[in-house]
Amino acid sequence: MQEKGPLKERNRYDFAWIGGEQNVYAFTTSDEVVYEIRFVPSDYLFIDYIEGRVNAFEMVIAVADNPTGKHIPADPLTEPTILAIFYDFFRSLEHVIIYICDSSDGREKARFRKFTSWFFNNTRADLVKMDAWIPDGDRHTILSGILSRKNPYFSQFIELFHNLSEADK
Amino acid sequence: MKPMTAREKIRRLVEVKEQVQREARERYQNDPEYRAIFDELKKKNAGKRAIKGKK
Repeated sequence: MQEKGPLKERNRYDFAWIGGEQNVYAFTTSDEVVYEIRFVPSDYLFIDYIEGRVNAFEMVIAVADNPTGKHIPADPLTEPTILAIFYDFFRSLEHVIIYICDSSDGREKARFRKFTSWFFNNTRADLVKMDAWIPDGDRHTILSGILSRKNPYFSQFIELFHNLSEADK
Repeated sequence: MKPMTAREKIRRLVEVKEQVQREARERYQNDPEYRAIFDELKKKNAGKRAIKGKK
């Protein structure tokens, strides 16, 4: 894909493809914060809906090192870098990407707002995002799924997200 | 694979996320080859900043 606007190389950090079963990418920021992005195969999500393999992946953004020792400083190049990695990986119409905002530290809504804003500001028109809010005590675990409208398993994906939303009802 | 309930799937997603975050930190601390990839990226960043600073 030709990079446009905020995805141009000069507007983001270089990243490296490490690969492996969990599709690992890496980049670092000018503050030397070290990020790893993984796309972990998660076809078990569709086990009750589809026979055979589904290209579903859980996207995890992990901070491997934060030498600032404080809250990670805001950095305008981080988001375009993650987006460039997303598109580097998401090339197939058959891919489904799941992103989870868990409630372990009480910041799930902030993460979800950020992720949603990123999606609506930057992603391609043919992609669809669907969310599921699952009660977790007095908080929520929030799941987002992204896929192409042309994905052959689109209807099963809708059904899966509907059932995940209803998990505790 | 056995059928899973929605709650089990959500639990597994959360566990995978936590495990990846833990592994990333541990690997960076303990695996010199892995760390070298990031050192190379840091050098690239510094090089880009130096070029930008000269413009």
